[in-house]
Amino acid sequence: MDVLKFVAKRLLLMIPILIGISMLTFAISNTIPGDPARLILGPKATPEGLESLREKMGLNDPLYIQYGRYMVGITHGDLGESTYSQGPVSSDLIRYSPATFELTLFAMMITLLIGIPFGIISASKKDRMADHFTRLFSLLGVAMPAFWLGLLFLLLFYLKLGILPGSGRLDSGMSPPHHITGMYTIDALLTGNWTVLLSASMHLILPGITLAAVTIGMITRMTRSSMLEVLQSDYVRTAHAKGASENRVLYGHALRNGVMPVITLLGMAFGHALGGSVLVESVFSWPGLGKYAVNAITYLDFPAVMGVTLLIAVMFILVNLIVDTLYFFIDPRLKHN
Amino acid sequence: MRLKEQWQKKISLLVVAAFLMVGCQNYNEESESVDVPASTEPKSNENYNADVFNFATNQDIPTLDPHGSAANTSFRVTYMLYDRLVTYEGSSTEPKPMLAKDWDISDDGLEYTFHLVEDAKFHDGTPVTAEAVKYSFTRAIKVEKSAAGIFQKIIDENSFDVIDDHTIKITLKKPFAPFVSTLGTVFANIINPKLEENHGDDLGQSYLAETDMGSGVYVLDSWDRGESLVMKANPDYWGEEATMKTVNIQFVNEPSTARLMLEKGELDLLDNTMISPEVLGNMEGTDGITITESTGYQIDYMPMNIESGALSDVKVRQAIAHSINYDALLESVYLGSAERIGGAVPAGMIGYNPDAKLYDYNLEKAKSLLAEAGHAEGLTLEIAISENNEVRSNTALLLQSDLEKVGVKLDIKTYAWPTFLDLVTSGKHNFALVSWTPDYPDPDYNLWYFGHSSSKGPGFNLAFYENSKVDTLLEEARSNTDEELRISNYEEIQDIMAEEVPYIFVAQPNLQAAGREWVKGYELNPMNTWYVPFNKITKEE
Repeated sequence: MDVLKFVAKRLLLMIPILIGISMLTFAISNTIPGDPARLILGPKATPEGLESLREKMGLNDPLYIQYGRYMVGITHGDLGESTYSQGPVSSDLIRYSPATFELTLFAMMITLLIGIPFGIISASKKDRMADHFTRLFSLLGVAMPAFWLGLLFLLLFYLKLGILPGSGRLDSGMSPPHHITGMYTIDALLTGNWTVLLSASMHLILPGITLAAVTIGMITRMTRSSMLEVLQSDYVRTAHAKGASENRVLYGHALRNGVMPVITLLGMAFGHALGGSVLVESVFSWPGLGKYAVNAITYLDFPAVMGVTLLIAVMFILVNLIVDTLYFFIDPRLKHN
Repeated sequence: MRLKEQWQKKISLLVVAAFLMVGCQNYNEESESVDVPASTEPKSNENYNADVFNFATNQDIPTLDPHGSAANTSFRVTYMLYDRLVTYEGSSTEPKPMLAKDWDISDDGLEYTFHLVEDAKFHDGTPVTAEAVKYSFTRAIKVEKSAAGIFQKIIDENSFDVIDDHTIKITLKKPFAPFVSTLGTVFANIINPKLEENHGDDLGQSYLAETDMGSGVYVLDSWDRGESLVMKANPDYWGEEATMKTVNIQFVNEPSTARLMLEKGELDLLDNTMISPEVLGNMEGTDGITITESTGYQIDYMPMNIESGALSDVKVRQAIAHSINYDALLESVYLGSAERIGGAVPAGMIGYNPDAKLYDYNLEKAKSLLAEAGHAEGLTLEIAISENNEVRSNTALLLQSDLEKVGVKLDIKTYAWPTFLDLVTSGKHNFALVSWTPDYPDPDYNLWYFGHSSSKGPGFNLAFYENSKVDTLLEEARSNTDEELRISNYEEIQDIMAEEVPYIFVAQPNLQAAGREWVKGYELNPMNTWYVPFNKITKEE
């Protein structure tokens, strides 16, 4: 019951947060000097054409009226029309978001599979070779710009070794699997389309690792420091004293407490990966929200910018809500307080 | 403890040994490759596919409506999906018959009668008729976008007389000499009138944004926005069938990625605006890559806002023109692949004035002109450029150091494109750097935009230049079909403008595009730089 109450409260809190974000984004994007109508029509348009488009787009109204109109639209599920693609923003978001979610989820999967074990190894082998190695590795991951790392990967694995594809989501000429979730790997798996599954997975590897490099670094470092703290505590010493094996102490006793702060960080890491996708998608020509957002900003496509920002904000809040809810199950003390 | 140290030493030794071995292996590979002459066996690339043409651009396509887009990346596709009355072939800027097999022009230059080919069909099988021509132009004007900008002033709904299915007479509101030239632009693409069934409340703009209703040599096969667009050769094309059966246009945002893909052979050709001259220079000589270069009608120029401050004095503008080291600029920024011109009409186009005054690099003269204008103690000015363009930022840096020598301090302000556009069209700049390519090969195009007082600001007269003589000459030339008179007017305008220097024409750069050596028959059109003749290109390994 406590859990439900907690979730309901957090969901309600989302409303003022989203209103705040929408006001900020709307204000910032509209203060950028530039005329969206002129960008659409180009230098050869007539003044009359410009004026009638401005009127049609509502650009002549005061900002608060434009904002009000936008918010009224949102309550009806209408995110406005993209001035660039000339279609509803909502359908653009539906078109581009699966690619980004697929990439982000894959990156988070790698982050979990590599980051946490690396952190544990690093903590348990403190100041030894393995520790130095993982620390160096995670430092590199955090410090290297994703953009540059992506290009290095491309040079090595795509151009020189030729073992991994360099751009896009599928091999050129291959048609996407039947649309279920929009995430090619999952759709291919569900429809049993193995060639597409292989191609889609191969295409995920380089952008996925590039995107995960930072988050792996973050998680490894956090796991290490938190595990080190736990390993110093009395109950771990007691476990050692009563003769429990190294593995039993590490995974049975220390991990559960050590992993707590890491879970909080995972929520943040997810947000980081969503943001990082803007750069990574550009390098690997990944047709997702990041690429869409960059285009939208270049063309002062305000409705699209708003749509992407709000969608990412909602995702970020939801993921953090899930993470926080997980605490109830991992830390029984919370249920009682 | 000692045991552990020994292990650590052993591991370190192993790592060093591994590095050495990798190094040696590379060395051996290199020395071996010297022994084997490269010519004995032709290298074949696993990615080579003679039937599919892979092209990359870093700009997404907003819409496929020919009347609704100002984006070059849309032009490249709609030029293939649709036919026009006339067209430009290869590197020619002379309009050639396409849907119109021939045409008559009345003596007063007002009536144009076009005779259409009889076997042309839209992709759904409907014949292309005079009605379709009328429908297309009428719609272009009603849509009020880029296409309207060209046609609105000279034709309207009542300008069309359908004489029979394959003959149409267009009567202009006033004589407009370059009319036939404008009919070869993408804005004049002929659309299937069946679009009317899907007009909705926006003349079918949202419908046509994602589909193809043309009669062109290619048919739209698929379009994954942001990823790729595939066109297939139209098997029932009325004209010459396309050589490349499949064209795959890929959207590769990052130029470095595209370069790697080209080197690997996964791409055949890159968008010519994608790679900077400097990087193209580096790519030259890469195995399997060739750089196609030809002259273009693009001009890179610097408008000087004559409505603001010091630049309103012609002496200051002339001084600026004298302080630029043009040779150094062409050499270091354009790496020699550009020419200098004196006016707004590019070399090669009719009406180009080779005698228009070219200001020499003369610092003494510049200083004395500045002193005459009362700026002996120097002055500070701003130059606006748009971001992400190496040529422009390098040019600005060079200008900065040149102008410093005559006491003019130049502040470089870099803006995002939308902000830049807003700034320069509303006249808030001193200097700016802009590139310009005409849509049709007539001096009227450039000179009207740059020189006519009605084009100030939003009309792209970014110098806010006004001269009643120039206005009169422009108006006279536009409404006259006497070629000699027109050319003499245009040459005179270039002379006047060279004297009053509202603009400095920095360079007429060559067009350069990077592609695979196996691509044959690719020519860059000086004007339609985005135009790739996919239907004429072949691939031969």
